[in-house]
Order: sequence, then C-alpha cells, then structure tokens
Amino acid sequence: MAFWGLGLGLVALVFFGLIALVIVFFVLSVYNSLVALKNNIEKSWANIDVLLVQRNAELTKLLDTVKGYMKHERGTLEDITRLRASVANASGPQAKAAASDLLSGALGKLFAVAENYPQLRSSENFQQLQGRISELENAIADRREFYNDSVNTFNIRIQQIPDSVIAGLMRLEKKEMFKPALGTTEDVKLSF
Amino acid sequence: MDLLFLLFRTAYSSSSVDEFVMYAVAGVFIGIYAFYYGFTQWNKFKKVADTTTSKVRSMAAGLVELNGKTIAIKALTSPVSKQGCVYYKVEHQTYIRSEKGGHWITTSIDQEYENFYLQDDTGKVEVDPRKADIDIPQKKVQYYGSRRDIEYFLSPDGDCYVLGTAKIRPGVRTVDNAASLIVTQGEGDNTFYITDKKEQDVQKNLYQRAQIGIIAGLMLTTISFGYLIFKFLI
Repeated sequence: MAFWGLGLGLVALVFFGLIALVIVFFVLSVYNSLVALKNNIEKSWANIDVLLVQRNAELTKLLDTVKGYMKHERGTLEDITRLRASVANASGPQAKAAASDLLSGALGKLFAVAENYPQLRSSENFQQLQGRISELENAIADRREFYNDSVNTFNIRIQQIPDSVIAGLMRLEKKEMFKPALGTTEDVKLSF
Repeated sequence: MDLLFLLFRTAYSSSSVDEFVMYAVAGVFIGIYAFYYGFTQWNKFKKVADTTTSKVRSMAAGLVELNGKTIAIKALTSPVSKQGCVYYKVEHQTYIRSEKGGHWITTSIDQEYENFYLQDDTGKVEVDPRKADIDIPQKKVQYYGSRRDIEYFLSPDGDCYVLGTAKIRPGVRTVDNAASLIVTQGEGDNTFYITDKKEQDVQKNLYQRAQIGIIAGLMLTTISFGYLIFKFLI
C-alpha cells in the first residue's frame, strides 16, 4: 500500500508539474505578448513619423515649384510653411494629428487654388509632386489607422483579465490614439 | 482513484506486458512532443492575434500581416488535378498491411513554389513563399491501387493570408512603397505563415491546435508515466 501511495504521489507530481509548466508558460506568453504590442505601437508611431518627414521634404519642393507661378497667393504659401513647421515641432499623437490635419486641409486648398493657374497645372514637376504628396497622404491615413488598431488592441488587452494583472505589474498604461482634435476637422480658413 | 487502480491492474495483468511498456514509453515522448507542439501553436496564435493587418500601399518593412488575393506571377500546374496554382505539394503514400490492419505511410513529397503577388484593395506586393509554413487543406486525393497521391495547392485569385517579414528589395529604388518591398522570412523574427483561410479561421484553428496539443500532451504524459511508475514500482 505504501508503494501505491508513492506511485500516486509521483504521478500527481508529474501532473501538477506539467500544470505548473503550463501556468509559467502562459504568464511568460502574456508578458512577451504585451511587450510586443507596446513595441508595435512605438514602431507604428515611428512609421507615421517617417512619412510625415517625407511629406515635409516633398512640400519644400512643391513650395519652390509653385512660388514662381502663384505670386498672388503669398498668404496660402505662408500658411503651408507655418503648418509644415508646426507638424515637425508637434510632439505626441494628439498634437501631431491636429497639426497634420491642418496641413492636409491647407494642401487641399492649395491644390484647389492651383486650378486657377493653367501654366502651373501643366507643369510636369507640379503634377509629379502633387501625385507624390497625394500618395503620401493616403499612406499616412493608412498608417494612422494601423497605429490606432495597434493602440486599440493594446488598450483592450491591458484591461482584460488575466492580462490586466500582468499589465498592472508591468505598470502599463493606456496609449493615446492618433485622432483629430476637436476643431481640426473643420474647414481651414486661409488668407488670400 | 478506483478507475486508475483498475486501469493499471488491467494493464499489469495483460499477457502482452512488454507491449504496454513500449506503448507507455512512446506515450511519454509523444505526450512531451504534443505539449511542445501545443506551446508552439499557442505562440503562433498570439502572434496572429497581436499583429495588426497592414495595407499593401502603406506597409512598413518588418513583420507584417496581410490579407488579400493571390495573383500569379508565373503560374504552375498542379500535377494531380492539373489546376493552375502558385504553390503545390503532393504527398506520395503507400498502404502498408499488417496483422492488425494497415496504414498509409508517406514515401516522398514533391513540391514547387513560385513567387506571387498578394493583392488587397490598395495594391499588390510580391511574396516569396520559400521557407514559409504553408497551411492549406488537401485539395485532391488520387488512388492507384495500394498507392495514393494527396495534393495541396494555393490557387491564383484565391483568398490569401500572410504573416511574414517585409524586406526592402535589394537594388530597387522606387517611390512606390509596395514595389520596393518583398514579403519573405525574416532573420530576427522567422515567423512566416501562408494560408488560404480567413484570419478568424486561422486564429480559431491555431487556438484549437494549441488547446488539443497542451491538454493531450498533459494527459498522455501523465497516464504513460503513471503506468510505468506502477509497472516497475508495484
């Protein structure tokens, strides 16, 4: 009978040892997963920044191209120059989103006004820059969506049980979404 | 407890004790493997669940998850069903008879790959499927007496889910984001998974495999180990 007790004890030891292994694995898996999600957000934010920098570079070329044609639109061009600087200087998703949206709106106005300048419209350089900036605007919109999806997944995970326990120990906090601030969705008033 | 006692007593009193020991030893190893398999499937499930789907036109270099359609660059023809495809695998199997029945064993595998495009509503990107874990259901089974061929293939224009690494193509300089990238296996993160299933089904399958692997591994290891303990201790 003593052997039976020893035998059952050993079987129980293996069983609970494996259960403990599952628990340890699960905790490590949740920890690694939260670290990966946090890093994904940082990476997707950096990926938006890359495109914003590229758009600023293309804007410099665009402004150089149009200023010879649009001499009467000095106010518009100055607004774009100012907004371009405010995008570069903004920090944090909310501020960056607000500045970026204002710049996108101003660019839309610039392209609309450019319709009144047939010589400019027919310029190959202008057409190329317009196309490139539109592509970048689309890509920025996609990456904003990607960033927000990543933030949303992270925010849900750190609030769900049992992940919330490990997230609490890791002192993880909700992340901010890249969404337009109030007022930035309104039409931009430009001085002509 | 009584059931456990009865199980071990039955096994012990069996005339083929050595055979049971052999099964039990195999059970321990298979159980450990099933356990390991369950963990790997769980890790894969977490990766699929945690990775946000990118759009082709704006995806960045690094680990990407893409959903779309398969577009052939150079179409292959599947050898059994003669269908156009971008990837096929054929398992050649032979039926082996034994005293207790019989079973099929795989004698050889033929497979061929071609790079293809994955297209979503924003653009298309090239995928190099070599080294990918390609998870597709069998499409056709052809019997030739005691032999059979099981065919799997990835159809052009079919649904495609890819979780892999987007790399900058060497020597390609273009402003078109998708044209400057190729999806393949990464060096740091070597996850590279291709399937014709929807993402929800991928997650569901991986989750089920993980559960089955871990639970079956736990049970099989414990029971097999328990049998061996009782066999040699009592």
